[in-house]
Amino acid sequence: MDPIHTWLDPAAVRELADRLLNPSPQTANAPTGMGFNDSFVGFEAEASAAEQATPLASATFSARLTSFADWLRQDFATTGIFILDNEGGLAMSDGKHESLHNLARSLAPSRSLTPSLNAPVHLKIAAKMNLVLIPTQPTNPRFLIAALMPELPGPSTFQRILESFPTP
Amino acid sequence: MKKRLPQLQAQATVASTVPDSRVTSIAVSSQKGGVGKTTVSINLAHAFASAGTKTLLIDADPQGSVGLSLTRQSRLLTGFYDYLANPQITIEQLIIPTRLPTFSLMASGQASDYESGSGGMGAHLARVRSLIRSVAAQGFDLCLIDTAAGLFGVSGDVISSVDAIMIPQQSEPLGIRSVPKLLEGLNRLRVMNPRLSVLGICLTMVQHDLLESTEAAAALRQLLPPEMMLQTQIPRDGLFVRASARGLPAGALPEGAAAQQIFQSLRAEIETKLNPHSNFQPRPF
Ligand SMILES: Nc1ncnc2c1ncn2[C@@H]1O[C@H](COP(=O)(O)OP(=O)(O)O)[C@@H](O)[C@H]1O
Ligand SMILES: [Mg+2]
Repeated sequence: MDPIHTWLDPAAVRELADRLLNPSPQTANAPTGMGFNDSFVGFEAEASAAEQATPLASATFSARLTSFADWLRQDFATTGIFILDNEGGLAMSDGKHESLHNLARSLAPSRSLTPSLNAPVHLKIAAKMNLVLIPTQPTNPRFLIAALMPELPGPSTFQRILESFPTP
Repeated sequence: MKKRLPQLQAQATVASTVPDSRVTSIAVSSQKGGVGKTTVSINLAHAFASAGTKTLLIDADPQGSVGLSLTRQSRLLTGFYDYLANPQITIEQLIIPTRLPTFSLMASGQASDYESGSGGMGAHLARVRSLIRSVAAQGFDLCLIDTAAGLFGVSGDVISSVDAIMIPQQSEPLGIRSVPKLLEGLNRLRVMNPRLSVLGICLTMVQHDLLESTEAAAALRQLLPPEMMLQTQIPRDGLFVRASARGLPAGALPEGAAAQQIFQSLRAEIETKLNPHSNFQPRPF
């Protein structure tokens, strides 16, 4: 009697295993890309300090971030959004999914934010829910857009989101 | 002679600002508890240390028993979770020497509100990475981390910070059902740690006199690519229970020669996996 094959899909399991054994795509083609390298130590900011919205954001910029978030929600069925500044501080939040803030911080590259990748870094949170992380253009100061999206944005959507991000 | 684990050195010279302070960090992790993580960690760390590798074994399981097994008063010791909770604590305060000069321990500590899972993923990432850098600066060659069960919380942060992971897996049909979930979880964590090298699954508590156990082992080997499975299997043996009751690695017991040999073979296998070309290169130092 075969104790395993009756209740799992061997091809799917093998595929998962092969992915683990092969060099990760991030290391393979984006060594300076998203910055998940040895030197990355996460945002230095203490979580408690970072939870307060950063006072540096001007009122008008905050308003523009809010309408940017509204636009994301309407056009891309985004169910949650928050934006981190380059210190890991919370520049904007819809108040939901606070448990994901630190996760996004941990995923955020510390020094080499670059929008040049074809697809953003993402984590599948649930069946139709991805945490999509989009670093803004390397203008100063830089931000990380974290959005919960049912589908991953394709290259053109990704580009549109980047271009629609308000300038401080 | 200072014996080093030579893998990743080429990369290290590029990435590290502190030359010659490279440590190899390995997490011993699994989805489930009771699969033999702690037993494998203690005995594997002892095998490396006996072979001359300067080894630090960290107990990163608040309910774990590395410390309980190896040092009687581990509950009173400051340890890993205190380091996470308190930025004032330095690593020198945490390292516990053993009778074997190449073998040191770090207890899990007393910061009980830092039970694994709290704080969410990523909450302790920076601190865990800082700990591993400090371990390197202390001159250790190997840092073996026995994590709490599950791939989330602090365990997730550890896996997101180490060079490599090995996964003990109890050799029985029910236990093996968790393997797809495990692989999924590891693929997710690899987003955060793309350089994570998966040493593979190590079958534990294999019972050669029990058909279900040997069948499960064979089926898993058939299912997964061979590189995903470590060749060395740990048999179920009361010796391991007796050893932990006496606060010793099994290999340190008078009747522990066979156990020692098994873990030496596991050690050799892991060294080869970490550095496939080791046979062809002169060893540094
Ligand atoms: N190879 C083995 N043979 C016999 N008993 C074992 C073996 N490995 C572990 N055990 C016992 O099984 C129990 C769980 O093992 P442990 O190493 O603590 O697992 P984990 O750390 O994954 O929870 C312990 O009581 C341990 O002594
Ligand atoms: Mg344990």
